[in-house]
Amino acid sequence: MATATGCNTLQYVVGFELTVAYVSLLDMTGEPLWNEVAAEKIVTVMRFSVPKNAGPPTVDEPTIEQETRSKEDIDLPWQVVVHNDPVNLMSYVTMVFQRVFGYPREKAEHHMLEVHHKGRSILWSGMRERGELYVQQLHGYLLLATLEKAG
Amino acid sequence: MCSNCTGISCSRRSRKPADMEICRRNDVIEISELDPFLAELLRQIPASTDPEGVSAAEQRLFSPPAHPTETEICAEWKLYVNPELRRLFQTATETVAADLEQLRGNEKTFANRSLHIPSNHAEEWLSALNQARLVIAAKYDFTDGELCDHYRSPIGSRRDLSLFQVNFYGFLQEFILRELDGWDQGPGA
Repeated sequence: MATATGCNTLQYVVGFELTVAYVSLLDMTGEPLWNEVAAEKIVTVMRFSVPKNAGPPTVDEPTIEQETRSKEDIDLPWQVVVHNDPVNLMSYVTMVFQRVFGYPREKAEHHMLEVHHKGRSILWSGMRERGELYVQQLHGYLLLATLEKAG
Repeated sequence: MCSNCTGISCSRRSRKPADMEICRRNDVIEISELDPFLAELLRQIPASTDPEGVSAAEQRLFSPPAHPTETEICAEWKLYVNPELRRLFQTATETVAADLEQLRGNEKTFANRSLHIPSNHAEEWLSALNQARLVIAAKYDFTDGELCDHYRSPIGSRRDLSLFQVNFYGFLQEFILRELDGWDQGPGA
């Protein structure tokens, strides 16, 4: 167990390695985390590590590493995917994308055509709960939509 | 014919005064000059949304929300979301069935009848028509080629009739969508 005893000092009761490998600085507001917005974000990761043989009551100063994560590492684990369906009308699918995601017509049509030609299109990426809500809405409009882990 | 009318005929002959017309008048979509055949197809909409135990149709209406390996999501979906979707679809179908009461009667009285769909029922009509199209297509396992062949004729089998039904409902959907777009843009659009 580690307890903070001062501004820059850590006191260890039992020796072990403390590694805070990942500190997410992503938005926690639940607002849509659009791909294009997220792609521009840079996440700073703070890593604290202490030697394994460190024992009580004093240890070496923990080393603090700082690294910058690229956009690929950002925590955007879920995406809403719409799959092709020969029955649903193209105009209907476009209208649904406009209503559910608030996309302008051009963007909605772009995704509709991607579904039509490529068989699927990623409509949104972000937190699971919001993704589930989108999939539920899409199913309400009878579109074939799934929630998938990104990557 | 009003300026925003579309005509459809189930016969091969060119348009006659008796062909069905569909148009918007203020806040109502009016389908007029219905012949008994098309009127019966309209009356079939609510019944056509019923998967009738055909698993392919049931699965199409209630498709999985994720890959089957996501067992937790799929299980929760079945428990909480599917009943809600079922209610949503049922409500739409009931609204359409109530509107179709205008067509109640025997075949003779269908002739040249009109159907009025209030604009605030347009969403329910879109849903019910979509349900019906998906269920019929799943039951008959229509191919992409068949679904794209809008000029297939004549109707020689139950399968052909069902394909015509899918296309006819699609035509209505297209018209309602176009009118919804017009309503969104304001009166007179």
